[in-house]
Formats: sequence, structure tokens, C-alpha cells
Amino acid sequence: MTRFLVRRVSQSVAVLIIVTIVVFAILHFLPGSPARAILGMRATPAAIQAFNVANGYNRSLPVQYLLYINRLIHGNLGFSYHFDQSVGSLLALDLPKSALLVGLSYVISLLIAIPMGIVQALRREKPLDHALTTFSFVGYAMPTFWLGILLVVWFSSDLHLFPSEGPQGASVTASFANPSGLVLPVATLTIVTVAQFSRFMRASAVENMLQDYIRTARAKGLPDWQIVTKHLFRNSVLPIITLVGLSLPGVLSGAIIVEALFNYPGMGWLFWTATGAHDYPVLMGFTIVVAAATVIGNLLADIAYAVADPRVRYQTS
Amino acid sequence: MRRRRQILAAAVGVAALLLAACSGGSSSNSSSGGKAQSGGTITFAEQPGSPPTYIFPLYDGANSGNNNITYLQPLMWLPLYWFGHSNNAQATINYGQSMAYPPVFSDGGRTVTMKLKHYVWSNGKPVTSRDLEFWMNLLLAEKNNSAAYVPGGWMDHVAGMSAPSPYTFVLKFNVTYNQTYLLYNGLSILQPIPQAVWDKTSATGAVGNYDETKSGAVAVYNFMNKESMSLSTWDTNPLWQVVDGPWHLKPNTGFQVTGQTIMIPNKSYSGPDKPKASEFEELPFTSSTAEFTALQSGSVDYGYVPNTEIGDLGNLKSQGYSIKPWYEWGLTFVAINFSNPKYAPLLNQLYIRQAMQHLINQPAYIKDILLNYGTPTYGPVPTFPASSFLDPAETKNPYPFSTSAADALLTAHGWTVPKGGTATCTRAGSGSNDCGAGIASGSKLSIPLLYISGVPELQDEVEAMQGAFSSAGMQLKLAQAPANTVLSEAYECIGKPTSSCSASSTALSLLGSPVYTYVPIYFPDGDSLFGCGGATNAGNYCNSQVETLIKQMLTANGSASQTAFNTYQLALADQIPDLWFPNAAYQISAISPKLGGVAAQDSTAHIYPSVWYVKS
Repeated sequence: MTRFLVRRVSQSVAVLIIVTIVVFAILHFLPGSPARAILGMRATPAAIQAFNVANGYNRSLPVQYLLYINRLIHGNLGFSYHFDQSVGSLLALDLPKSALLVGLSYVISLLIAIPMGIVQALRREKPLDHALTTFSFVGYAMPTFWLGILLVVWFSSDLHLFPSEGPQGASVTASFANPSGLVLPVATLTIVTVAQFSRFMRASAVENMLQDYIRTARAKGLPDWQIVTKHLFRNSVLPIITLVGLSLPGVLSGAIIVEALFNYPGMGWLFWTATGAHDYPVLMGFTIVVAAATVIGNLLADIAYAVADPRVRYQTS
Repeated sequence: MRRRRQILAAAVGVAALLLAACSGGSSSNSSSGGKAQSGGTITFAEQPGSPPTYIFPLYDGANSGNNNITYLQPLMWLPLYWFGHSNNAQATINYGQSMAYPPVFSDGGRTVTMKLKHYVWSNGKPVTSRDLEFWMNLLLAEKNNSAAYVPGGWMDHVAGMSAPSPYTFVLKFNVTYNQTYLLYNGLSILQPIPQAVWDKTSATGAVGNYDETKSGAVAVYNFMNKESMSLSTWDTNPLWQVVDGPWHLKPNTGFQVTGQTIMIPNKSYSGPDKPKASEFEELPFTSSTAEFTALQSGSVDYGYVPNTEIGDLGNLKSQGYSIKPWYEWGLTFVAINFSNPKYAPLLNQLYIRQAMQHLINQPAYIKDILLNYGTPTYGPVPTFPASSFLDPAETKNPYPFSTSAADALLTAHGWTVPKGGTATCTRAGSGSNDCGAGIASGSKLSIPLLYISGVPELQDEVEAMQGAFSSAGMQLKLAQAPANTVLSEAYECIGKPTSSCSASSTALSLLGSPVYTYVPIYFPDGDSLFGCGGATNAGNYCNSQVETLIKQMLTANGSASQTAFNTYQLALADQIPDLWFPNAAYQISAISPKLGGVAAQDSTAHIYPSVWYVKS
């Protein structure tokens, strides 16, 4: 296992380095220059030149990249010239907010989707299964912005149950102080995610229900609840583990539409704004964090997969 | 069994969270008429994704948006001369609101004497000419970091300054300027700042007279710039608590880096219009949709309606909100790149520009697309608000919409315009009836236009324009990109001759609406936009007649200046250095019925929360 981990971590570092090279090159080949984008139409040639010198844009691309990596190694993600803040401080503020929003929606989604998928498998082709399948399809097909607007109209404008905005405040602590603000954005993401996860769970559970070990358990006279909790659940949840692992980047990269709709600035909104502003340092910082999350998510999914399924053993030699 | 308990506990936890959330989630709307009262909180919506980013009033181009220079800084630090009004939209000098009496010009106009009124800082000290001198020292030492700096402009011609008394400040120039121009574009930048508090080079260092040497002034600027970029400390930094304006940041809780800004009245404020509300709060929004939702829920007193919602305002109007367009002192145009080697031969022809202008149906765009929330642009001086700068002749469109007029111009200059097809040059040459220099026989009249994405009404306008162009044999090839990309593409060839400008550079570009505002330099001269080599002259337009007129209007005084100004604006209206395009409202404001005192919306984009009040 240790050798496996060492190998996978080495691969991950290599992937991260490649990601930084590719993203750095792509960003710098985008049309337009950050100097004009940031300084505006009134900028004088001297101001443009000073901006480019100050940010190293007058140097060759490989040199710029090496300087960036050097700063990165020293923990400096750069300075956002659009937000007038360090990229580190922007990520420190927005990342926990997105993690709370998206992470909470994933947790709730799992708590709903796993039992829902199993129930659907147990009641396969029965009215309850059809009803939940319909719900899943509707939820899956519903555009996030449309669902969010509907929830705002119903639960905020009409019923006055929840605020139409996410918790306001710079840090994530404001979110804990005002949990009511999280309800609608979390619900929006949850409905869509439940629909997705429950379909996977149902399919996996249905497949496992047909396996010999379930038939054997029944033949042994085990009660249904024991078959479900001890055998069916553990084996059926494997695809969900993979999904959760792959979802980790999503937790950290935020949800652009929901964040914009509910006035809850997080990572998704930060990325959107930085893209429009040609804010390269923010885009690079964001990409590195999300790339790292993707790599780590995959790694964790592999480990969890091995732990959850004793049949799966990785070759370490 | 244990697992089932865990799942049950988690489910209970989620339910508890939802219940807890429900208990605090109710909100109520109130909408009532009433009289002015003291106290209460006024909430104001910031533009989407535009939180304040810079608090120090000496700002550069990157920080020259309304989020900083009209919504934030002037509420705390007053400029010496205030432009704009709370009760009308005029972008003119407002001496009643200014900190100084009208400037007195002497020495043939080269010396300007300004007498300060008796204002005080919030720490009780008087605002003096030393504070103004401190500002000037920082400005001149760091003019490249001033958004108002124009190379060769007035800042390069300051010959000296003095403060002969605590309330008198004198500026000397080595050239003579048009006095109105100097007031509107030069003295408008002057800004007393608290020398006795800010003249330092570090947080722990003592206050001195560092600004009196250039290196010292640079050090002070660097320190203040650093403090200004420390957004998380704005509301705890004692530097920003010393103000002379009507408001200051609420200590400790007055600013969140997301943009939420809470201001409270400056109890020592010594100017007119003392604040009536006890708090003024600016709210940040991630999108106009989020702002509109907040507006409808009653949590915004002064907000705006997204353009996509203009047709559906019944709910807001039934709540008593008043809907008013807010226009900026600016203009909109499609920028022409006269240096693009491929398209310059076409765009250099005045008759082609005239034909294109004939095909832009401004009244129809304003009525049908902007739903009457727009004003026409016919030249370099905005047609709204009405001003003494605008020659009455410029209120009329010299090129009214006419497909036949466009068609006639093209055919008269050697183009064959097939029905439903693209015009082809069939009479090459540079004679007065030929296609023009550089246009080969067989050339097609096809020109690309790059415009900003994500603005539905702008898209509708350019598509309507494309249809009209097509009907006259002009092919307009549309492409869109994010605003900042269009901006940098449009400026790719600035200052470059045709030989070094790429053929793939944009030929026509539309950067938004309004494209250019005369804020914070309010004189609508357009010197940097249309003057040869101007700092914002993206397309390198250069016309010797216009150049002569610009020089005359910036240096002459009296009737000579006015004559030159009128001739200049009419010449540009005719010459079409850019394609004049309708000016959309800066925002369609929605003002709560519980907010009083909003008499007008200032075209300089200044706001007047000290005049506004919460109705009882």
C-alpha cells in the first residue's frame, strides 16, 4: 500500500506540473492584454509599460512561468490586480464558502440519494420506483438557474420562509451565523445532485440484487434489513465512492450559477469574474487549487474503493 | 444497528438545520409614504461584481470605476471643486457643494488663486491650503499613477505652487489654458487630504513633511497605496477615519472585502447637506439577477433593474418603486481602427463612414431595443443632459437613417450594389467619384465588427445594424467577446502606424454603452479621444482641422474658445471619427417609496446619500 501511495503521489505531482504549464500557456495566448483590461481605455503607454514591467509581462513566457513557479514554491500565489488583494487571501475567503455550500449539498445529497437508490432497487418497477425515477429525471433535467429562481419565487418571495440571498459576509463564519441563507442555494444544488447520485445508486443496487451472494444470503434466511445493510449497501455504494471522489474538485471550485444567483461570492464566482478581467494570477491560483483537488480526489477515491471492497487489491510491485 | 442510528442522527441533524434556518428566514417588506426623518439605514446596490477596491483618493486607471471614485471616496473626502448636482443631472461645476470659492485667474490666465471655505477634518483640525499642497505634491510626484493624467496635459505644465495663507492656494502654469477647460479637467482633480495625518511613510512612523521632496512624496504615496490595497483593514485603519466629507466608514464593521460598505455620519462635517440617515449601506452583488431579487424582496432602497426585466416592472411599480433611467456624462460609439492595413482603405473614405452612419437607426434602437432608456449620440458632446457645451446644431442627426442615402453614396463612388448581395468596387481610383485610394477593383464591402458579449440589448442593436448594412450592400461580420477582451483588442493598434498594425486586428469594435464618460475630467473636449496621438484614441484618428480646433479651444478664452468648440464638435459630428451610436442608460434605477430626497440622478455618477432620507 505504501509503494502504491508513493507511486500515485508522484504521478499526481507530475500531473500538477503539467497542468500549470498548460494552463499558463493557454491563459497567455488568450486574446487581449491584461494591462489594457485592467488599466482601462484611458491608460497611457507609460502606464501600460509600467504595468507590464511590474507584473513581468514584458519577459518571455518561459521566464514568466519559472518566476511564477518560484513564487508558488514559496507560497506566493500572486496578487489580483482586479480585486486589489493577494490571490492567497481571496482563495482563503472564497474557498471555505464554496466548500461549505457545495460540500453541504453533497452530504445531504448522499444522505438522500443512497437510501433512495436502494429503496428504488427494492421496489423496482413499482409505483414508488416510477415516482422517484420521475423526480430524478425532472431534477436532473432542470437547469440550475431555473430551479434556483423557482425556489426563490416560492420560498422567499411568496412564502417568506427563507432569504433570497446566501449568507452575506466576507468569511465562512458569516454563513454559520446565518444558516437560513444557505437553505435555498444548498437545496438548489442538492436537488440536482440527488437526482444524479440516486440514479447511480439504483443501477448499482439493482445489479447487485441479481448477484449470487444476495441469493445465498436470502437462502440462508437472513432478514431483508440485514441483507440490505450488510451486503447490498456495501457493494452497491462503490460507484458512489468514485463519484464522490470525482466531486471533490467541484466542492472547491464552487458553483458559478448558484453563487451568482444567490449573491454568495465563492470560488465559482471568483473564477468567472477573474476570467472576464484577465486576472491571470487569480486564474492560475484557482486552477492549481482545483487541479490539486482533482488529483487528491482521485487518490482518495482509489483508497476508499480499496477499503470498501476487499476484493480490490492494488498491485504494489 | 449502529449504522442505522448514525443515518437517523444525520437525518435529524439536517432536519434541525432546516428548522433553525426556517426560524430566521422570514423577511418583511414595508412600503409607506411619509415625511423626512432622522435616522434609519439607506441601502444602495453596487453594480454586479464591482465592489470598492481602492479607498485612497489618488487612484490609477485600474481603480477609476464608479465603485471607487463616485460611490466611495467622495463621500468621505471631498474634492476641492464638486461637479454634479443632487437636484439635476447637469455635469457642471457646483460651487455650493465645493470646498473653495470660484478660482481667480490672473497673469494672463497662467496663475490660478483658490480660496478655501472653512471646512474641518473629522479630528477637529481645519482643512487648509497645506492639505491641498500635500495633494499636489503627491499627484505631481506620481502623475503616472493618476487616472486623470494625460501626457502633455496640465500636470506637465505646472510651473509652481504656493500657499500664501491657510486658506489660499495658488497654482502657476507655464502655458495659458482655456479657463473652463482648466477648471473642468484640471482643478476638478484637486483634493485636500489630511496632511497632518497622512504625511507619513509607514504605519508606525511619525508624521512629517515628507511630501516636500519628490522622493518623500513617492514614499508617502507608496505607503498610502499599500494601506489602500489592504482592504481587510479599511474599517480598522485610523488613517481612513480622518475625513472631511459627510460620511466615514463605520469603525470595525464598516467594510467587508466582498464590498459590503457601511458608512455613518461624520459628526464634525462642516459642509452643506448634513446626513439625515444614521447609516448608509452599499451592498455588493454577484449578478444583476441577485440584485433584482433583493430589490423585489425590499432589502434595497436604491437599486437597479436588469435590462432583461424592463418589460416586467409591474411588481416593483405596485410596491411604489419609482423607475428612473440614470445617464452618465458620456457617449457611445463604434470605434474605428484607421490603422488596420486590410480595412483602413475602406474606413479612411469619408463617404463609406457616412453611408455606415446613415444605416445606424438610433431613434429606432432607442425606442424598440432600449425601450426609450437611451439617448442619441451625434458627436463628441453628449446630447444628454442638455448643456451649454452642446452646440444646438449637434442635437440634430447629420446622418439620419436612410438606406437609399447610403446606397446613393456608394453607387456615386464606384460601387455596384447587387440586390441582396455585397457591394463590389467597380471603379477603382482616387478620383472624387471613384472607390478611393487603396481600394482595388473587385473589392467587396465587408467589414468585421467585434462587440462585447453578455449584453442582450447591445446584441440586438448590432444585429439590427447588420441587417440595415446588408440592405445597402455592406456586409458586417459580427463577432463577440468579453468586455475586457474587446477593450484590449480595440486598443491593439493605438499609436502604431498601419505598417505595424496586424491585419487581424479589429476594424470596428463596440465596447459597451456608454463607451466613454467625461468623468472625472468633465470638459467634453475629447482631446484624448480624437486628437492625433491621443491617449484614448484607439483607432489613431487624425485630422489636421480637428487638431487645430482642439488646440484653439483648449488655449483660447471667451468667445474664441466657444467658437472653436462649436466648430470642433460639428466637424467631428460630420467627419465621423467613430460611428456614433445610441447611449444606453448607465442603469435603470429603482428607488424605494420609503426613500426620500432623490430629486435627480447626477450624470457624473456621484451619489448624495446625505441628501436622501428614510421616510417616516
